[in-house]
Amino acid sequence: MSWAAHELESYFLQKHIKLKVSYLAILLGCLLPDLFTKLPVYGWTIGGFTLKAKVPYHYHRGWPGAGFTHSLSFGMIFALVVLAIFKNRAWFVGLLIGQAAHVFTDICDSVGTMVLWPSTTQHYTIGMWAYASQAGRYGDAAAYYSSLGGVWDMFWLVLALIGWKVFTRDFYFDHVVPNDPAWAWLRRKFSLSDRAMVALYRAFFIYGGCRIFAWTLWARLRNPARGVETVDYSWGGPSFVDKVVLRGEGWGTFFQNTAVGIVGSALIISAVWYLLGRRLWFRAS
Amino acid sequence: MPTTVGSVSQDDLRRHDADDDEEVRRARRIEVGVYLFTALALIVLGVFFTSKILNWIIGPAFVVAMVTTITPIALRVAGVRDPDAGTRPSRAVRADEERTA
Repeated sequence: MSWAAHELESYFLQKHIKLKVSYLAILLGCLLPDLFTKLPVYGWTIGGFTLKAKVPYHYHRGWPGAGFTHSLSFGMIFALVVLAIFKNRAWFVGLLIGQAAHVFTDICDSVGTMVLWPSTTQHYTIGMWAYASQAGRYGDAAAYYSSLGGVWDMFWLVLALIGWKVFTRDFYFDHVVPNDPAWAWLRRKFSLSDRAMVALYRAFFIYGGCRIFAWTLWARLRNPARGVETVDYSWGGPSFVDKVVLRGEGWGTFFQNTAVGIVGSALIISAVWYLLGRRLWFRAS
Repeated sequence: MPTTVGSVSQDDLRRHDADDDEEVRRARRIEVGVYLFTALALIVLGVFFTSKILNWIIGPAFVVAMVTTITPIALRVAGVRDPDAGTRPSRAVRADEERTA
């Protein structure tokens, strides 16, 4: 899985999308697939109750499991629900884009995502770094920030910084606020000053960027196993972690699943759009 | 030849605007300093407290809290007028906007 990339890509996307789109929706979309699935992946204990997936990768990315949250169809359904409730097109578009960005970003690890679910449960992956959530939060952090995962996060940080204008007050008040009534609502509800509004907008960038440096420093300086868990920038690394790799089905099955997935997903999304989405879209502002 | 409007010359008005702009720029530079300090604090705290502070709720909330708390103090210490002072909507304005919304 990707770590800080999900926070940072939201700024990059909103800058380069020429449509009227909500930044908050892109951010929510970027976080959405992991929002309700991350806690059981690492394990969560409150009182005597522990919530932990037996097979983390299968729960997180597989089916049956919560892997459907990492598919394009889920993004479409969730965005339509939001469109039906809030009647806002900028939120619909933002959620679609943000969620799709998360789905495609997570293709980079060794487990990948079921992009075309429910038409196919085929996982798509380029295996750039090891999926290691079964090692727990700290094991995963050590593996991710010792591998190309950390480089991937840094790539998104640099991309966001190249488009630095997106963080200026002028950009925020001229482009971000007018596209999204949620900002005016937040201002009214919490009596926010201009400074607090801008800080809120920039917060996920600062947090995302700092997260890269803090976890990298932790992995290099404070990780108890830092002597063994060293930097490994090889493709699919790091080699010290017992990474999850899915069984390959062969190219024939892969192409067959992909063809079924593309046709099935196109049919499902078209049908949902024709029967429901179109009406909701025209009803919204 | 300086033109005058009432008892204030336009040159004075222009100088006054330039001073205001410079003060706002100074305030913004101080604010950038606060952001950098916040980022540094978050990294240092993150190394020691890791997921207690580096999570989707506490991390961004820490940034907002630091910037909104420390910036006015830093501006006061530097003797710079706060350009964002008075931008919080009053209760009456909020109620009015609520009705309009």
